[in-house]
Amino acid sequence: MTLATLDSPQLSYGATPTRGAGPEARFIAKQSEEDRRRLREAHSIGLGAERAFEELFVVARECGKPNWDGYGAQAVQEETCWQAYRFLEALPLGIPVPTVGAEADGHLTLEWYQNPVRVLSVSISSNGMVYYAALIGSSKRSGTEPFLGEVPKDILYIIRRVFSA
Amino acid sequence: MVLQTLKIDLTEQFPRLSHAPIAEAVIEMRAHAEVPWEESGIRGQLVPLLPGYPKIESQSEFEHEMQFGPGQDTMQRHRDLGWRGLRCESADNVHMAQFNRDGFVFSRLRPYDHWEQFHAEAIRLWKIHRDLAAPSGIQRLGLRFINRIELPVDGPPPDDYLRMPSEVLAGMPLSRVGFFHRDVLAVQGYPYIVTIVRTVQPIQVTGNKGFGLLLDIDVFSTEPFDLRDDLLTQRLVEMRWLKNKAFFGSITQQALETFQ
Repeated sequence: MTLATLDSPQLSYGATPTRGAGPEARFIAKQSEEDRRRLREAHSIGLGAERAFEELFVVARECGKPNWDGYGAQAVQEETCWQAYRFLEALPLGIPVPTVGAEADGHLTLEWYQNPVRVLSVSISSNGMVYYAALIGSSKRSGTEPFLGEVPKDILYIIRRVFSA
Repeated sequence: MVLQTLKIDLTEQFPRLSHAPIAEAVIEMRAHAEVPWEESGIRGQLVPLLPGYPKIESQSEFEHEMQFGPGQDTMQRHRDLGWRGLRCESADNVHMAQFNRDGFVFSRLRPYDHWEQFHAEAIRLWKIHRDLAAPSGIQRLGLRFINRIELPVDGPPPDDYLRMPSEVLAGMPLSRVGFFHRDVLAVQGYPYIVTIVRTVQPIQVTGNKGFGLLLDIDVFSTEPFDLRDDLLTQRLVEMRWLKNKAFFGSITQQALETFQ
């Protein structure tokens, strides 16, 4: 039963706690962040999460000016990069790492790809809205969610489905 | 082993503690503002509605510690992400309300009074926020109680107060000098998660405090819901029950007697 619970999408919850204002809340937040970072830096647990941050850094640098693709693409705004950064940080430990790319409209994309019919693309905008589209076998799913510090449950569920086969 | 189904029993009574170690109680509604959220407009509307909250500060969003960069040294950055909202503090410094673009947070600091007072003030201010921000729903509702138990430097060990594994390493008589223990618990059959953190806060430089044994109980919803008052009330009542169960299930009999 313990293992079943650990495999649950519920495990992802709590990455961002209810926000306190006092000194105890700040102390706990700092401790928690340090512990999480230590775990993520271990490749065996973080599954190479650092790589995604490095990709984000490269994309931010290469797509930060208009017409970065030579076809009139919009620049990726700094705010969009930070939204993507926070999204990556909020991914539960142990989740497969996405590849990072940019779109012509200035959004950033995170893609989880298993094969041509098992793929999820998440598009992140500067205002914190997250648009996703997935193909899992013959089933298609898409939606829009606000990003408020936690990865939406539907997206976590789809990531697991993409890699479940 | 099969988990028993939990039933939230709202008729259950809990001991009333006259020395409850509550350092902070928080209610947070995460709900995106769906109207323009600009300082001058929001401040102008909010200030006349909050005469009991004379200390009003702008809150900006900051990011720290950017650490990535292939082939580069670790970078530390500090960046202002712009105006996020207002933080309002009561004249007696025990109530703090944050009216932010992404939601509302109400904190009650020491001395905690009682649930009815805390809840009523939180809801009163939430309604103000709701009218200003016009969100279409609540994405996440959180109820968090942080307890701080003072421990003398050479006093009793933490497990005299909190239920926790007494032996970390079998056969190794090592003494525990620090820990950070976090459990994330799903509530079967209900849209809630309970996280419990047990940790030790070092001696505080200011405030004349010794070691603090922290028991942080955070109950939050896992599904968005509509802005109906009855739904919000129902969720909070259920979450309060979970918080109480988590608290009384985490402390020892000795601690209970100390707090009564």
